[in-house]
Amino acid sequence: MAATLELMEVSVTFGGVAALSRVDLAIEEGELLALIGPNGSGKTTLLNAVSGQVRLAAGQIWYAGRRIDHLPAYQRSRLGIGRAFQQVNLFPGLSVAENLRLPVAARLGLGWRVWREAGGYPEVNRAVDDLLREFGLQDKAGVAVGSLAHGEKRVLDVAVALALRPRLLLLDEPTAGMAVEEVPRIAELIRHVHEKTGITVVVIEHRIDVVKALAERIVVLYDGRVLAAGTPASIMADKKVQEVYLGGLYAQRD
Amino acid sequence: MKKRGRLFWTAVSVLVLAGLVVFPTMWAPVWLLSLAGQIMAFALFAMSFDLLFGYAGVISFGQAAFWGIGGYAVAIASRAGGGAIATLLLGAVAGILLAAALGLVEGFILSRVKAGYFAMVTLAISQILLLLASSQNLRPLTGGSDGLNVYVPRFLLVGPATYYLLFAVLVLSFVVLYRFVRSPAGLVWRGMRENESRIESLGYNVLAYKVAVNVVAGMFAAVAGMLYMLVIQIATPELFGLSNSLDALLMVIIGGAGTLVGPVVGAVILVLAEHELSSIGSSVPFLSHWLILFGLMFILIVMAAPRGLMGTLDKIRDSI
Amino acid sequence: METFLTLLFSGLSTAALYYLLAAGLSLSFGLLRVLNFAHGAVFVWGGYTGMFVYQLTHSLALAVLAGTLLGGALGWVLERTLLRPAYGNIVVQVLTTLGAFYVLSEAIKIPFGPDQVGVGVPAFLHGAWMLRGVAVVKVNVLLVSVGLLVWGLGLVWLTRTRLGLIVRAGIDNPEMVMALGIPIRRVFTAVFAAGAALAALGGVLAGQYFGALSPDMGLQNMLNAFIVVVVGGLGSYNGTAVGALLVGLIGAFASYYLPSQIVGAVNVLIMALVLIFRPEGLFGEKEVVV
Repeated sequence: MAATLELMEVSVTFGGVAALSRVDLAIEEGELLALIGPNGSGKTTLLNAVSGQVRLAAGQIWYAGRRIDHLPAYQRSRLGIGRAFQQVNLFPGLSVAENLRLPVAARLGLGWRVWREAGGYPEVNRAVDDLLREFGLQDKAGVAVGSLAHGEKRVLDVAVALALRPRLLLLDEPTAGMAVEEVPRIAELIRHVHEKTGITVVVIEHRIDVVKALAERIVVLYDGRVLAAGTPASIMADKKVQEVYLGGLYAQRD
Repeated sequence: MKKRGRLFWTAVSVLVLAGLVVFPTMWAPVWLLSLAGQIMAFALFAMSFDLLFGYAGVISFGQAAFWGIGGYAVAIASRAGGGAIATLLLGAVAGILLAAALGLVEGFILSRVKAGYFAMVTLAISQILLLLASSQNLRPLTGGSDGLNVYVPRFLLVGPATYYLLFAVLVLSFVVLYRFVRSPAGLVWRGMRENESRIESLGYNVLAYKVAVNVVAGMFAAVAGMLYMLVIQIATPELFGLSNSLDALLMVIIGGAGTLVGPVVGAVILVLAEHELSSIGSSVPFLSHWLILFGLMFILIVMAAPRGLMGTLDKIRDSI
Repeated sequence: METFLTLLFSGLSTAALYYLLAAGLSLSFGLLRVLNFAHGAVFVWGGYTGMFVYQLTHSLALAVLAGTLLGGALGWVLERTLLRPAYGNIVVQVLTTLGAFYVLSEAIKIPFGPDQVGVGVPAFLHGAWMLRGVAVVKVNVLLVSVGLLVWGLGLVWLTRTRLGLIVRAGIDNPEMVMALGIPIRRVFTAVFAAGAALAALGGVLAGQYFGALSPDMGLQNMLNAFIVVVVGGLGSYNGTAVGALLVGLIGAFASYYLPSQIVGAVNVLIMALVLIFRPEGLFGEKEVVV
């Protein structure tokens, strides 16, 4: 299959320091790809470059046959690139239902309607109800997001990203800060969404068990460069990866 | 429980509205109608600011720019036409368009800068308008620092006619603004207040929404300035002054930001207090500096009860 | 040529005045991330204090000292009461400092009245020297010298002293400085008070420069200082100096050819252009957007 997202020699610098240098990466339609690497290796920057939060110093990004690196973030979102952030990134003063209504209204192009009440569009309400049910949040619809538990916020965060029905979903450490017992819920959710809708998913993840269980392919970033890419098994066996990322632990065990 | 609360508030609103419609037919001394008129003009002004500040989360210290544009548009038109209704309406339309144009320009700056900057830019712009209005070179147009008298059409001077006109415009504006803030676009504005970057990543064009909210708020503020002219009948450069922008801010903060009703309550409290304090002030010298009390009260409310009166009432009601 | 030089000198002296006001604004924004809307009121309080002390003592040095000290004290109180409880909350800080501006501007009217008052100027500052047809106003020389002195001392302080080093590091990366165990909060208070003291010093000198003071001159001067800071780049030390020179000189030349009200509009226009085309200012560093 053809690549749906392609990064060509992408470089990003912050105040003279290279965060990404000449990264080449092609991601195929429908793939579930995990991005791993030590802190500061440029994982989040790579997602930001794709979704439009940072500008490139050099290189090109192509998505679905279009060059997108000069588009503002909102236009990339409209092309079907959905994004969930590392920190919970919601609208704390709004209710859970309103948090979901925003992306649904964006997808249906209702954002400039100024007369009818936001809760009075049946097609929006249906979609919001479906999402609430699918993500197990139906009891929380009217609750202000600020008062949700952390795990629920993370779930809602993913739900907001998915409410746009993206064709490409970028997840930045969806399990960060979660209690151990909550982790399987999110991992299961990601697998479920990927299998059901067939969308392309790129996920940054620190928990190796989650990565091995989820990903079809792993890309390892190190120091702003792609160190290795391949199936989970081949990555675990890669000497370079063992050295810089997995540390001596794996190497000794082998 | 919730339903009964709603019924109660509906009943209160209907009673208040009915009272406001009926009372001038029974008892309408000029001073009272004038005071009520000032309250209504400021209520609309504060509502326009609430749209900007309370809903979209934009801090501006120059909302008086629009208030003054509306005021001067009506004043200049009323002089040109000697109080003829056609020129007055023409002036009103011109004023609204001018306000929209200024809102557009400011909106583009708003989309480029951070929160505090915009407050500063808008303050500077309103200050420039104040200087222009009091400028000697523009005296033929604006009357310089003496200002301009407003010729009000004769039919508005009959009994409570002005009162009813203002009341109608205020209620109509309230309904329109209420629909705006409850609509999908209103939801986007509130989302912008809560988390601007996420709104953008959902595919909303933040620049356009910022420009739009500044334009709409500016147009309503201009209308409020026009209403004010019908009541006080003189346009002075002070319309553009910081104290008016601050009044709007204070009314919104006292009443509760992001509630639309709050600013109206804030306007009632503040205009009445200014009225009372300035009349007491002539006999009690210390109270002639009541502006200081307002400033202190403003600081205290911002620090202690940022949700304002209506917001705090809501919170108390929620907890009961 | 004579006109040009006269305008140049007059522009330099307004630049010096703007600089005194803008330096504190810029520094406290760079370090504390606070836009201080009470700055203009401190300027006015400094001016009136200087006027009052000069009336009593007929000593300009004492007037300058008293005004500056009062400004520093006001800054200290403002930082402790209004800013400290709200670091990180820009909305609250902007609103409360504006409230403080309002209260202070009104309060100055209680002892001194709402109208313009004349300021006593010592005899040695009266008049001007004539140098080949160019008028060099004595007060202007004082302003420019003080402006240069403050700029130079500030530069030495920032680059040569430990506190200056901490301030510069804090502007670059406040978290890092805090992680090093430096009591950054106390540094915040000191920097803010110093900025306020400079504004008050500017007020005393403004009284000498205009020969008069009025309670509402704070707003206009504060706005001009803001414009200077925006043009130069918030938090950039030399940027502020260059911004002050630019705005002061453009103002001086514009006021020769244009009516005075338009000059204020020219300043706002400059600011709007800078904000639209280079929002970080001419010398400000672009912030990393994430």
